Parts: sequence; structure tokens; C-alpha cells
Amino acid sequence: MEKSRYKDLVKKNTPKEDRLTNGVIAFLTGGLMGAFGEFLLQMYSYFFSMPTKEASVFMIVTLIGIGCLLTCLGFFDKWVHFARCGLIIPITGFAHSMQSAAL
Amino acid sequence: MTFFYKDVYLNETARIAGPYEKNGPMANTFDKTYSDFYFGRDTWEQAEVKLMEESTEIVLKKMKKTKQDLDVHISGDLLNQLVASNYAARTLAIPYFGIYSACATSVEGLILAANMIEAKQVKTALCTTSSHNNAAEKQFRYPVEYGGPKRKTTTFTVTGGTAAYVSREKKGFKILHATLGRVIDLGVKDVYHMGAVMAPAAADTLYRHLQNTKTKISDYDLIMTGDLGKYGKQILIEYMASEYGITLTNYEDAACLIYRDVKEAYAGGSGPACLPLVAYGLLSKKQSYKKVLLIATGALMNSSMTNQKLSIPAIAHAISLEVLS
Amino acid sequence: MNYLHAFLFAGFVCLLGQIILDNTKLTPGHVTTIFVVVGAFLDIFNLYDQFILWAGGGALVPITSFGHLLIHGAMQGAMDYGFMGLCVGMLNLTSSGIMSAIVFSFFFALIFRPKD
Repeated sequence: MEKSRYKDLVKKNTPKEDRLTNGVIAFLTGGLMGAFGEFLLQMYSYFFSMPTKEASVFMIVTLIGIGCLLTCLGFFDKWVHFARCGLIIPITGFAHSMQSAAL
Repeated sequence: MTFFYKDVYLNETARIAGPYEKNGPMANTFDKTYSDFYFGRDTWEQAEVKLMEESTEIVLKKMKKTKQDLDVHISGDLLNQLVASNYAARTLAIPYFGIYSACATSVEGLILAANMIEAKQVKTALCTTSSHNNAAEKQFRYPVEYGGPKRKTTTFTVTGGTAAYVSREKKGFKILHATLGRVIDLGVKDVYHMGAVMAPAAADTLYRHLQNTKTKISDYDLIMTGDLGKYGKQILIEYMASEYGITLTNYEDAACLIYRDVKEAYAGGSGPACLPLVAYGLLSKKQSYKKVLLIATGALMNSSMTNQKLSIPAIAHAISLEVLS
Repeated sequence: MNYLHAFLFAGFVCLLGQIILDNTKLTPGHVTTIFVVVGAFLDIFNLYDQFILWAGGGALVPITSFGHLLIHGAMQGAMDYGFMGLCVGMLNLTSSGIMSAIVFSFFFALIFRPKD
């Protein structure tokens, strides 16, 4: 069979990904991550009376630490798989890739 | 290239599987299962070696033979340099052929063994193969703990080891004929759509097998392909119909039968152990099959070649068996 | 109000990433890299600083903030040291993030074993 005809056959039998569901899940989880980051920022500025610049550094380090720890505990890959970009785009995605490679 | 055999038999098989397969529909056909991925060893590669060693022990016990009775050991797996087979062969210490055709290894081993026995070069042969989900993922895709999203056509490497004892003893299943596959590449570059990669090779080998043996689809009570998966199965059915005008009946795909409710196994299982775990398992139970055709399919790439944006070549080997009454 | 802004901004960035991931053949690694570059680009006209003022944590959490910090550091270095300062200062602000990822990964990998 010629390659082009086969390509059409394959396309016909390949399922479409659920783009809408993925997009909604990514938006919601990403938003939650953002809100959580904001919460950490407020907490660090308030309880430890840090200027915003320092608090943001601590917030990023905290998120990286959480991402690494959850990856090690073994279930973060399932969460990332579910949330897709909602957990990959935030700093947690970067921590997760580093940690999974290190493990 | 089709080989015809007069006096070669697949006597006995042994099947060991991992945690996900343990909860699948074939669970009651396995000789042994494990609940984790390490099997008491330190790393996954060493765990895969254990799968091979143990399946060898089980099949020898079933045949009431020892390793001194074996003339040759033929084995293959997915790991780089075939290390699972090599290190298991070290334990067995009999003359050894290491072979590779990815997920088509099991039938390639049977063909080599049957040819040597038919030519009276050896009397008995042991064919083993194995795959380990974590070891294969680590090598071919991403670190195991990485949760990157996968597509619906992705298959999930089966964790399991199988061993087959082949000889001239009239026991088990008679090996009737076998067709050696040729490498087919129809331009699919997607590593996450193995079904599309391998279906043309399966079709080519199946067609040549039917032509050379002068048999029809209806002569077989069961035709089983290796790991085309849910979508590859549909692709093969349509391909056979449109390219050769052949309608597939009594057709199953091992990848679709190995798992039940495993979220990560979207399109089904894959790996060299997939077809033998399912096929040998089905044959080991008293079924109404008389004549069976097994077509193992393999994708012959590695991550370097796919990163170079090359399309993926595939191969399929076929073997027909007759159940001895 | 800040929480709502944070939620909306971060959610939007992730949605954008998801759309790119679903509709192209790019891998998650590609998408993350693109976003770092986008974040860097947006900092050129101090646009990203406006986003941070508006969304607070929501603009700092996505990986785009990494790009922003890279450029910020580079520009600060350039102001202090001239042209070579671009290289000197680039990793200044991101060093905490990168180092913590390396240190955490290393120590956790010593304790934990990959499971599945």
C-alpha cells in the first residue's frame, strides 16, 4: 500500500484526544496552582515579614520542594498525567522532571 | 520465506507476570505472578533477569527435565545489548543464541528452534523472552516517575517472562509451518502509535503465510497478533480487507486481552512477553482450538532514530500450531 | 481580589500550554521551553512586571517567571558590569530555583526509590 493511502487509513482509525476536557482541566488546576502560590507568598510576607522579592524566592523554592517530594512519594506522576499542563507549566513541572530523572 | 515442519513440537510453556497483568483477564493462566516491580532484586533490569531465570526453571520442572537435557537456548528481550537474556543465559550456561526483533522475538525464537530441530542439528531447544514495564520505559521513553501526558494510542509494556520447550517429543502442540517476516516501513513516525507502525508488517507476513501454505483464514480456529493494540487491530482488519480482499475472522490481538481497567494502558499491552503470555496461556487451558496462527509483531527502532525524525520499521513473524489431541 | 487574579492568570497560561500540547506534535519539554522564552520576551518591555503586580503569585508560579527572572538578572548585570554583565547576571535571580531543584532532587533520590 502506498504511504499516503496508509496514512489516511491510520488517521481514520486513530481516536481524537479530548481537547476540551484537557483544556478545562489544565485551566482549573493551573489556576489553583497560581492561587496556591499567591497564598504562599502572602503567608511568607505576613508571618515572616519579608519583602515581596524575598518571599517570591521562598515561594518558588517551596513549590520546587513540594514537587520533588510528591514525585518521590510515587503518586505525583498520576496527578501530572491527569492535570497535564496544569501541573507541567508551573514550577512543579520543572521540579518533577528533575526529580524523576534523578530517581 | 515459509518453513514446513514434519516432526517438531512445542511441548510446554511457562508464564510469569507482573502486578498489572495479575489483575487482568489472563491471570488464572499464569504459573506465577508478582505484586511489585522489583521481585526481590535491586533494580528493574535485574528483576527482568529473574523473570527469565524463573520461567526457565518452571518449564524444566513441568517437563521433568534438567538443563543438561537442553541443547540450545534462544532468547531475546527489549533491553540494550539483550542484557536480561545474557545474564539469564549465564545462569543456564548452555549454548546460547541472543536474538532481537523487539516484540516479535518470541516467534523468531520458535522459528529458529524449530528449524534447527527439523534439520536434526539439535534435539531440544529452550526459547525464552521477557519484558519489564519500568526497564523498557526508562530506556525508550521517559523516567518512570515522570507523568507526562500520553496519547490514547499509547501501549503499555507488559511485565512478564515466558519460556517454551521445543523438541521432537510428541507432546503439546505440533508446529506446522512458520513464515519469516520482512521489515516493512510505511512511514509512521509516531512512537506512541505502535499499532499503526506494526500493522502493515503483520498484514504482509499473514498474506505471505496464507499464500505459501495454501491455507485460508477459515482454516484457523484462532489468529492472534502480538501487540497491535485496540487501534492497530482495527487498522489491520481494514488493511487486510482493502489491500488483499481478506476478511479476518476468529481474530484476536494479545494486547487487547492482557489488561483489565489499567488506566495507563490506553490501547493495550506491548512488549516481547505480551503475545506469549496471552497465547501460551490460552493454549494451556483446554480450549476448542485445533489450529492456531500466531503472528508476533515488533517495532525496530530506538530513541536515537526516532529523535532523528526517521520513520519506524516493523517486522512480523508467523507460526502455526496444531493442538495434539 | 489578588487570589482571583492569580487563579485567572495561571489558569490561562496553563490553558495556552495545553492547547499547544494537544494541537501540535510538540512534547511537554518543548512547551515548557517555549514558555520560558515567552516569559523572557515579555520582560523586555517590563510587561511581565505588570503581570506580577496584577496577578502576584499567579504570575510567579508558571515557568514563564523563570524567563522573566533570567532577563531581569541579565539586565541588572548589564547595568552593573556593562556588556559582559549580561552573562554575569543572568542566573543571579534564578539561582535559588535551580539550586533548590538540584539539591532536593539529589537528596531525595538518595532516600527514595522509583516505584512505578
